[in-house]
Amino acid sequence: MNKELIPALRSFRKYPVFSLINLGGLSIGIAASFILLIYSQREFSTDRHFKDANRIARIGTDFFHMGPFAISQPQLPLLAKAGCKDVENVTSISIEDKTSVRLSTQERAFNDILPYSIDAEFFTVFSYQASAGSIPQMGLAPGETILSENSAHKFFGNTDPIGKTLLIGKKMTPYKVVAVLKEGFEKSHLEPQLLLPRSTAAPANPNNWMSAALYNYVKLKPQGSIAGLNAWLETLRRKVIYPSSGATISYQEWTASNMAVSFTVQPLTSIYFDNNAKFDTSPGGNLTQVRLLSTISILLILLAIINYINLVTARASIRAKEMGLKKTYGAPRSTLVGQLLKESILFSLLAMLIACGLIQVILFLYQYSTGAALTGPIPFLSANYIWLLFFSLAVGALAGLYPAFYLTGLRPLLTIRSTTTSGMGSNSHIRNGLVTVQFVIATGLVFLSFVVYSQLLYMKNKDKGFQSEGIVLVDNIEGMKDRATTFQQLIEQQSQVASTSICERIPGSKGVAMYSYRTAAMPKPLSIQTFPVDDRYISTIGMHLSDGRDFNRHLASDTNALILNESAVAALGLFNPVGSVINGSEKVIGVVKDFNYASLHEKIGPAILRYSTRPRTLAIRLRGGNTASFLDWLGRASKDFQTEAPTISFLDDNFARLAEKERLLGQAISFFTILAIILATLGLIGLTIFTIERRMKEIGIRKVLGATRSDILNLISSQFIRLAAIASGIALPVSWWLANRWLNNFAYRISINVGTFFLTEALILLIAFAVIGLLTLRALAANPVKNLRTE
Amino acid sequence: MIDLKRISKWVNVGGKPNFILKDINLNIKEGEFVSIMGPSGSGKSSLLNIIGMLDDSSEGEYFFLEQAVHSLKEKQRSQLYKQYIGFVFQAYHLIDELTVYENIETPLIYQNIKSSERQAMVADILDRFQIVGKKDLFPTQLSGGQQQLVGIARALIGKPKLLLADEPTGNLNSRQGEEIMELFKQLNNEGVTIIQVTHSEKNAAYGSRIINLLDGRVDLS
Repeated sequence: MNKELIPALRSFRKYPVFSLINLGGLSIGIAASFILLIYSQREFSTDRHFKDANRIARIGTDFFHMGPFAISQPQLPLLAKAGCKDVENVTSISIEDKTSVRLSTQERAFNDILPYSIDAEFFTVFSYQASAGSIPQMGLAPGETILSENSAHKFFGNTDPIGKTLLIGKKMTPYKVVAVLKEGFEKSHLEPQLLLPRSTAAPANPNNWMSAALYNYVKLKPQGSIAGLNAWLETLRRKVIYPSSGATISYQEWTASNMAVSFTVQPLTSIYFDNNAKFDTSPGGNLTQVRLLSTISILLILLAIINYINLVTARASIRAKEMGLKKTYGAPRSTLVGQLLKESILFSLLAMLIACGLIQVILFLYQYSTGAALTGPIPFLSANYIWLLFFSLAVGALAGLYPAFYLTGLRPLLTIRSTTTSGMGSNSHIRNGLVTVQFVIATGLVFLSFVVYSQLLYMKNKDKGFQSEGIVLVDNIEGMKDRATTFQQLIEQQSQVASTSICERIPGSKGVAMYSYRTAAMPKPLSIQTFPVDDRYISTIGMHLSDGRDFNRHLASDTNALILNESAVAALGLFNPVGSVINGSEKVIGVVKDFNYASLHEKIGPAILRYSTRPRTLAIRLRGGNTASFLDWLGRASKDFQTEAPTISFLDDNFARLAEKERLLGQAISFFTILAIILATLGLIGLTIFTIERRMKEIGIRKVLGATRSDILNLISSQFIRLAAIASGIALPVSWWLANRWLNNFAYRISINVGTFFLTEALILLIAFAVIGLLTLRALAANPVKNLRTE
Repeated sequence: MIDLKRISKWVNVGGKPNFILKDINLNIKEGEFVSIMGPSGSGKSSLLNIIGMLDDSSEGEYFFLEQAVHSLKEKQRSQLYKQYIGFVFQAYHLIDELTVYENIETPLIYQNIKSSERQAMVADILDRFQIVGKKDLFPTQLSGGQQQLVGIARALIGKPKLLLADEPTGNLNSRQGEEIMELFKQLNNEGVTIIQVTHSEKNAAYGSRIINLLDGRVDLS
């Protein structure tokens, strides 16, 4: 054992509480910030693991200015490959409905498996690798399939799936497994579970540019560019699509009109975060969350480093004597600096070992408390752990640097002679500064968590313009056709059901329907969100009629009637909406209060209800009672009406899904805020213990002079409380600004009130007082006057 | 003023009581100047701490100005000594972070005396001890004698009836020691009761009575 390190180890034994606090803090800091580092690195490199990722792009479309779609036209790939000189290759994936998978006709099916149907070029664009079998580079032959590792495990357990047969779909078509895709730690916006071959027959209607179905990816030539692709697409629009639309207006007018079709090209590497396209393959990442968590990772390690520096320099009086003595024996400063650096690196390596275990604990706790995994399990023995080593070494060096130079810079005579701390006070400014930084971090994070949580709560409880709770949806009932009414009647006979409605669209669902509306006074029609519904829709989902009346199925004229929301009334410029005529013959019969149909990021726009009895969704308002048994019954009953089982969900869940990213963000920030508070509290405990130790004599003197317990408490805490106050002065405005920036993403948001500031301060001060108070009282319990006797 | 009856003090060492003071009976009247003498470890300082209410006796009764100290609560006791007792230590025990002025002022703060009144009282005592010029200095900038002077000023600022001094001249040279003793004599003449612990026969002679301690007992020989 290195002689220089022995004093360090002895000092560990001599001051166990101190050293454990220090070690614990450093381990938590290293573990948590390492996790977040890996997390952000993984998020940011999503899809970058594909070979030539920066040459791959997805062509999406925008129809009629409805916003971007992830899918585009089926005839596009052939045209692009033949016509665009920048394109090397194109592949298109078809992702439609979930299907069922069986191992044999007798066995039960695995449901809800989403197959990707791929063409021959798939593997030339996406460099997937096989963990078993081999990838057919020329695409799947008919009757062949490829599984993801996950699905393979699900279907076959640990047996080798290669060569086995799967029966897929209702028709139980047999497919032979030829390969299993390797699933690494990398993330992708494509999440294949099951790959099937797709026939690449020419599209049925190559002149129809108004509908999209395929996910089209192009691989550019090495010298090709996205700009080149965009230029080609623009030519395609002007030369092919515009003429085929049969429009009588000029090209310029056409592009601005609501008949326009346009393309959106997304580089592969930006699809994951730039994910507002409809029908995207994955919900995508949340850039705010990744940025926030990478910032937090830096803050956490900063907290841990500050703890280390503070606790080491706080003990300076003890170590300084050793340094002073060595100096008088002639040790050069560089040797001493080296010794202290070695100590801190040794310390951080020790912390790293503990951190290795803590990483698993933190990941587990995170998943346990939020229900979502932050990253997949970090693969063992991977390059990540080399990073951990370097990271810890760097932390050790960084944390040791200041104490090393500080301790070795003291004048030796002073340090040897002095038994008190006089002359050692000079570093207290830096220590106070560092403690302030810790308070700033803790206060800021607490404040942000409170804001995020208040916004989440607000989103959950906001009046949506209808009552979403207690509504069960039976989706995809198109197959029932005329029997839908019988189905509806059967359901209404159930005691738990209050009312039902058949409709084609429900707020918070994925589908989009926009129709054109034009009053006599308007020069151009407007595209407006439309909800085709029956006459019990408004009463069932609980919208509020503010004017006019509801649809009535017994009035033949109502098939041509409209009910507008208030925004639509304003958008169409109607003063007396009820009775006015739109599109020449459609009559407005009522007005409903505005209601949310999309996430709260978007402002409620104009929306129109029109009468329709075409079944797509059945909305059921429950009266209460035994919901579970009702749902059970509903699942069984609906199968009798339609072979393909309909999807049953709660309307509330649909809205919750729209706010899923915010929910995850809220949980992530509060989880790591708690960790940050733990770190800062550990630091405060250490420093308070030290402060009390250092001022024990003074406390004794003051006791003799008549100070009461509260006087002493005041004495010790006032120093920290002052720092906390300064910190709040910095942290609160900054985090207020950040929080407002985040809130500006929402059309419906809370305004930050004084209560949030107050609550943040209260929590921080409560923790500080609790720590300082308990430690001071503990110190006072051992009669401090006794310290005065030692002469 | 002070009446100690059968006062004993012990600490448990390895399960057995180890006596520091044994069966002390002592009566000190107001206006006395008592010197407690005895070899190291004879219990002088412990006795002084018990008299000063900084420490409890393990057994026995202690009456201070007719009040039964042994049955008082911590708070009342501290109220009592805050009001009537001043302490002087061998190692001065000034607070390093405070100036001379602030050190002297501290006891008054704990007695909840108003700021303006405190100012007048501190100014008075600085004047009397002729250390006005030093009021803004820190203890480490003073000589030992000067520090002890500040210590005494601090002990006297609350106008105590009793001054307890634990080897007040122990860290001083003989000339400084003599000055301090002269000061004590003068204070005693003004009516302050003084109890000092000392090793020095010469200093003990300034007092009106000497109590010898030996192994925790009053040595009557």
